[in-house]
Amino acid sequence: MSRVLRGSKRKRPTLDYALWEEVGSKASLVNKEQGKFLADRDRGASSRSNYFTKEGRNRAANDPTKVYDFVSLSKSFDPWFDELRLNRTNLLADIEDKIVGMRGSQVYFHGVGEDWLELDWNTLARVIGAATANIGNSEGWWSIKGSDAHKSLQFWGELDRNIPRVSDGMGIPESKWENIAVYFREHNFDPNSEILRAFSHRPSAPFWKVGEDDGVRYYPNPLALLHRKRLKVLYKSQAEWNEDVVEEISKFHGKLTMKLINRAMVSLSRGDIVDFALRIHGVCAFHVMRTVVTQQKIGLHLISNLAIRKQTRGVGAQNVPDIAYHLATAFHLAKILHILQRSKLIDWYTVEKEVVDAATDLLA
Amino acid sequence: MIDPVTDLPRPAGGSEHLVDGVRGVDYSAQLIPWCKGNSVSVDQNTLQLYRTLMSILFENYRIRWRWVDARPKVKGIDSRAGITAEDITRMYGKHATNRTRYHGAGEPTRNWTNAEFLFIYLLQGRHIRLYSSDNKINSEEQRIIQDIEMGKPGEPGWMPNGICAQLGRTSDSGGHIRLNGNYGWETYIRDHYGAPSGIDGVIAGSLQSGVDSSLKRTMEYPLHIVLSETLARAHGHGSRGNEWGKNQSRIRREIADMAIGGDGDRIPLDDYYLIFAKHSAAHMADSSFHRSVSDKSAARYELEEVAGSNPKRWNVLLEPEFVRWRELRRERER
Repeated sequence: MSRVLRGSKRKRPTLDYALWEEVGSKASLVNKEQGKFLADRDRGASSRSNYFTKEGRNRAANDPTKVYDFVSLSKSFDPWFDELRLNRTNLLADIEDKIVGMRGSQVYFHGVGEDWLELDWNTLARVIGAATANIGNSEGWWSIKGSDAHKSLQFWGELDRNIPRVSDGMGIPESKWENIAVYFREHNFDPNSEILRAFSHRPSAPFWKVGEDDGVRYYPNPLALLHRKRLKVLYKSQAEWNEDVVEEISKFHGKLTMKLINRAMVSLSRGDIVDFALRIHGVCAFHVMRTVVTQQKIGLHLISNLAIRKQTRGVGAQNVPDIAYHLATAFHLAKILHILQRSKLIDWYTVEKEVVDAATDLLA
Repeated sequence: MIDPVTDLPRPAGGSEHLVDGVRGVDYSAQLIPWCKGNSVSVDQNTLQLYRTLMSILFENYRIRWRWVDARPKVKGIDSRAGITAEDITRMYGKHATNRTRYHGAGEPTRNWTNAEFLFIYLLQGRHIRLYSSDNKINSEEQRIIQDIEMGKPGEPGWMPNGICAQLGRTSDSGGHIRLNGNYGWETYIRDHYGAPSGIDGVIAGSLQSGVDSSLKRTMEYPLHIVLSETLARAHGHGSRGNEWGKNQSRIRREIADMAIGGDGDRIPLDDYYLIFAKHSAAHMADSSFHRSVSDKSAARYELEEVAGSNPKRWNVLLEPEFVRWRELRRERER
């Protein structure tokens, strides 16, 4: 059911593309202050929010013009989609050139091929979900802390303490891996379940199992190790940021993750598409936990919805009332949108309800 | 995985590989479609116990077989190839509860009850055998199988008579459960983890290391993991009609049915979204679309713009194995 597409058009969810084509030019950006205003006041589950209804919301406290909210994956991602569409072959060659000099890459990335050009949006969305949950927790908005990301940090840390050579990209002999697997299984996490990811998409998987003359070895993804190094450097330097109070990592990892995703996007904006892709693959590879359903509502389903529609169909922005209705997350949606907006991952617009209604009527 | 003529497991190496007149397994006929239809997106914790235990059953068996391959004269298949009561205790704690305000003392814990469910299914289906020592079949195995067939596991007080209880009672003598090698699982292990056929100097299915890891395996899909997920879903929260992922199964069936009833390999994207919405899962439509990137056993979808459509329309192209899964299931239902 759609709150914005009416009548028979409710049976045409793919009119989302045409609708934005019609109204996009009349959209206004919601700035961070407006986003904060809505975030502070939004209450209840997303499907019951006062702001994202079929009647629309007032544009501002002192402006009763009815508007609909629209969100899209940030335009900063556009160069990635453009490059995929227009320059795939060269991009793949550039990525392979760059990766060849990286320590541990010859074994881990042997024979990867076209998978380099596929971002694992679902895993990235989970990472973003965990980071968003963590940031919202530090704002005092909810109690969920984004524990998936924290557990991933603990996993890699524990691995590094047990087998220091892992951080150098050295393979782990099977016997040692089995010992580690038993330890983590006893702590409710089976690393072998993550090995399967490498069979599907190696650039974004944490480990790859390789048979060698002296036995089977488990190789960590060099990009995950690089991401871990970046996280450590960033964590150590956190005190230098705006004189922030140094906090324990469980309260802070969301901001670190978002900052590193932002750095990938800075590379993208500078035209370094290869660096962007490798950084994002690393972010995904580092994330080994997928347990907390509540985080998935924010991350997996919202972000993957925006990203996949953009990648596969070029959908610009989607109306928030429909997203709010279908997502039915207990998190206050405006707060989530505000965190994602602040983190520069989404663009947030409003369009006057009158304009949207007229455009909807015109759609065949 | 069993040859119907000889009633013996097929050789490793796939359907192109012939040993003594018997062909290897044609995974594309039934088993890959089965994976495509049954792989679900459920959070890791939900399925953890089932995946973990199944994974250990297969990993331990594989490791021991590799040992045997390397040293054929060594008797390598013993309790180390299976799961013991100690293994389960190490991972999931004691089998009985302490007295708390939630339950009395000595009740079976949920983890052990779930493990028992998994083992019951596997034993009933001849996937595993119950041993009282390294290589001696437990004398209670037949009685347990008969009890299972009479529906006794559903009755209160089953646990002291069940598989886990036997594992506990025989733990000192090496009691364990392990995969039934005669049921074809050895072939699958070799096809999934071992060398594919056609490599000079390497026997198809060899579990020895040194084979290029980027080579395509004979069976690329983790059948055992999908099986464990399927069993976990069926068991759900332990009560009838409370299975996990039921909604996703309905959605998949409906998508495949629509394709079979129409163009055969595609459905309109609008219908794809509406099917998800009809089952209150509209929020999952896009992540499901992309799930095959991180999970090879998930159905793969592709999008195709309908030429000349205005406003634009799209079709979802379905993977042939996925449609085949539904066709096979419908044939069985008939």
